[in-house]
Amino acid sequence: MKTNERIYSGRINRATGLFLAGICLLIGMAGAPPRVLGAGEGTTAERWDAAAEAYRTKDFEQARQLYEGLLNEVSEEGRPHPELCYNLGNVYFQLGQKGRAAWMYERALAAAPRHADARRNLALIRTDGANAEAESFFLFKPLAWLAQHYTAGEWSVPFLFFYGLAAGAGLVWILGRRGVRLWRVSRWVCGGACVGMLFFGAFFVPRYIQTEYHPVAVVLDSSVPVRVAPGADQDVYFEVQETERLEVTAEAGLAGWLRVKRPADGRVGFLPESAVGIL
Amino acid sequence: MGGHLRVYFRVVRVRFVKDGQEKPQGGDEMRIRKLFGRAVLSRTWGIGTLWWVLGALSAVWSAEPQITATVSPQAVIVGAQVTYNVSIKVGDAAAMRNQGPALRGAPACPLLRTVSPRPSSRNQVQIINGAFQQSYELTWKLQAMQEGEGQIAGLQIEIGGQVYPVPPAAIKVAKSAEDTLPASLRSGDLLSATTGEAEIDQQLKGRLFATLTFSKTDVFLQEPIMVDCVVYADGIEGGLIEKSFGWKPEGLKDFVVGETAFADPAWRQGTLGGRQYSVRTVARYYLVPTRVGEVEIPLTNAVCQVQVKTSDPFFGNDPFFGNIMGTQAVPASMPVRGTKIRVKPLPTQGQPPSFQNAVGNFTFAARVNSQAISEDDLLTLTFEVGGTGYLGSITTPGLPDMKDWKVTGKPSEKVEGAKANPLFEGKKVFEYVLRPARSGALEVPQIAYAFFNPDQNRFVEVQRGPFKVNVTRGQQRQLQVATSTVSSDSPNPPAASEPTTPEQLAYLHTPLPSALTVVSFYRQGIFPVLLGLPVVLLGLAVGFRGWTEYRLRHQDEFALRQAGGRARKELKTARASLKSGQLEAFYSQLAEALRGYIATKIQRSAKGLTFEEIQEACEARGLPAEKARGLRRLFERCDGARYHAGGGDPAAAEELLREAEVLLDAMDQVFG
Repeated sequence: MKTNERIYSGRINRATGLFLAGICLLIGMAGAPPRVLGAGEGTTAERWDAAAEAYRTKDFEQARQLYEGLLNEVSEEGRPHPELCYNLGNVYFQLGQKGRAAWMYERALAAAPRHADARRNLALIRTDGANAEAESFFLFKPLAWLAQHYTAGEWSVPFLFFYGLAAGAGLVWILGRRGVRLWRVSRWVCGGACVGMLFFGAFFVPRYIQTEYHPVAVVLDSSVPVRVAPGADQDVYFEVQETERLEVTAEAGLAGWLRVKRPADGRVGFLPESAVGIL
Repeated sequence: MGGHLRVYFRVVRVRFVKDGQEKPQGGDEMRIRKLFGRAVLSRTWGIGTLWWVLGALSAVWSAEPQITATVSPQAVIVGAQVTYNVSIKVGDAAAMRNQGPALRGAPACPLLRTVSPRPSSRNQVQIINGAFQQSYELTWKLQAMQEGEGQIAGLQIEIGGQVYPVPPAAIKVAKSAEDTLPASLRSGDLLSATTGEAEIDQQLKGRLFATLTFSKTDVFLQEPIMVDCVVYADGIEGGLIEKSFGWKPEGLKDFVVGETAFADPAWRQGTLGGRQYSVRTVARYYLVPTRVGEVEIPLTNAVCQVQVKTSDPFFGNDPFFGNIMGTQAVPASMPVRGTKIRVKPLPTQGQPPSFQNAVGNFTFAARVNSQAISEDDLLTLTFEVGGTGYLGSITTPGLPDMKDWKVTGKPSEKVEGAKANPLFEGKKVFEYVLRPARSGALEVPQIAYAFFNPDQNRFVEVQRGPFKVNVTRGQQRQLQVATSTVSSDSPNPPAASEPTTPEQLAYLHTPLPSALTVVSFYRQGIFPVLLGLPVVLLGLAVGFRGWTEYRLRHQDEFALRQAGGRARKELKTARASLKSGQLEAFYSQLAEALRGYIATKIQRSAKGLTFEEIQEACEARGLPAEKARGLRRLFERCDGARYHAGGGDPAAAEELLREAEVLLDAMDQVFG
């Protein structure tokens, strides 16, 4: 009776309070949830529609400004939404800035590798084969395709699921009573989940490392000289073309210069940060 | 004769029979059983035996020595020296018996005299594919003495008690160097290599030259011709540098030239003008004639490097010291004459309307990327033309009247040439991007592509389609920003090399995303928590399980260690009972606390322990007799009070509790 009275009076008992505090702590650790943009609320939706309208009326400069404004609102802990990148890529394309368009399509594909339109438009830009990757062993190709078909975030979900399943089954196996049916089943579940975890982990971990630690850059200007050392007075080693995709091998401590590697021939050189867009 | 020997191999299913239990079945096994009695073989045994039989046979065969004799150069002038080389290869059987060859007789030829009667020899042992092989090389120096043609013969080799004749080697001795050359070299059709140094050029004359071989000299316009540059060499003393060969067709303005990757590293034996040469193809090109008429391929140069002895400034070429400076590589040029190619125009008769100058043996394929699209989608129409022939002659297939479709921009073009021969083998892929002009059940009309096959001397036309595509209504149509610049009526759209146009872009996406920022799951704060939690839980579970098992294993030890604490806890309960006035429960709990403690310490069951036994046990473990007696008295008082009619005095009970605590401390000190 006392408990009921407390509930009816709106007061929270100690255990419930601790539970709610724990939930709040978890949400706090998860970071601020993504800002939801309702169809009719705020200026974001209006600007989005205005950008589309400007695009329709061929006012591409206005569309660019609006989309870039939206892009600047993207918080640093995340990536811009692929649709925003894709649309901005289309605007750049219409403005004749193919390097920037390729950069935006690449950003869209980084966040959504199965974005068919972004892939298609990127292929339209890169018709000269300048971005040919080095040939890899034929058995690796389907695996690489599968790994690239999903983002690291997408790979992390099944990995985590099997990880949790393996851990749960492991707990039952460790704490359960030996020999009973549940204990026997838990061994098989734990083994199977470990296999699943290793399988998805084999895709998630390399994809995660690639995404987080091996950034890719897209050349924004036409014919950018890549030099042998950071500095405008250094000798030119080779030249890269607009829309070309490069691997960034070092960016820290080079005072506005990046060390890049061209995947097609493995050549490494330095170019100014402003000449490329980093994904 | 007309007859021939047929050898049949048959895998026989056979197996071991153990203890006579398993009986072979079938005719083959029965026959084998008859042949080998009970020793029926397993399949593994069968294959193994076959392997050993073949091995033994090959050993017997390879026991027969292979003897070859060569003379280099094969044509010399009077007074010049030649090298006569006899090569003997001995197989397993003889080699394993370590039976080297013994010479019988000496090389003899009426035109030559032997400079060194004893040959220089070289011995080499090899294991090739598991087979043991020993080879010997014997070399004589002979000098040409008189003009004529003859054979070096008369030598016999004895191996393992058996005598084998050495095959004869032909030699030609001429009066002048000119006479030693094949007719084509004498006439100037073929030209010897030159280095720019007269002495070396004299040595190379007739011994090193190159020629071109053409697959065809009578061809159609755009029909590829394969040209090989073949090098002939004979008796180059210092040798040739293997990787230095090169030839490239130059000055061919009426041809498209394409190099072909090929590997012909091996020298082979060839004959020219009755003289044997080492022959090797060093380069291969395809030439595609681009002009009708008689087209001449001019004289070109092939290059190589020849190893020659360096002139020694100190000793010259002293016969004792030799040439201490060794050899040096000298670049040599081999002029090669071209030929005349007759290039015919393509026939006009039977030329299909879809023919666009493609010449070769091609196939044509066409496909659309989807059979159901929305009005907003783009349809990709792909053509693939490929095979062997000049890929450059393949132009973009033209489209028929596309009334339901709008062609956006120019078609893309991609060449997928074969690695070895990218210009003349492979395929070209063309992609048209189409936008539907309306919704409904549309059709991409039939497309035809024709090419001329020069091998069959006829035109071939291939038709593909029509392709049915179901187009549903779209919603974003207003976002199309420009109309196509290519007329759908145009059968020949502009070339693919022109830049991509904006109208080829896929449409803008208008629905507002739910959030502008996408945070990957692994970047969210919950991810490390979810990742760490199972580890922590598993760690705790393992710890708990380990602790539980440890406690179970050391149950008695734990009971002994915790007996004092448990007894004091029970005394506290008794005190609570005393305070609440439950005297009977108090006495009972007090007695049980002490009895339980003593029973644990002396490792006996508390039930059935008499007061005498408790007193004795305590005294036996070192508790002073007075204390032991006090303990016994305490138990007796408890019992008495429990069964006393009045339930006892609370003050006395308090006194008893204190006494029990004192006794417990005393027992703790004694029992540990």
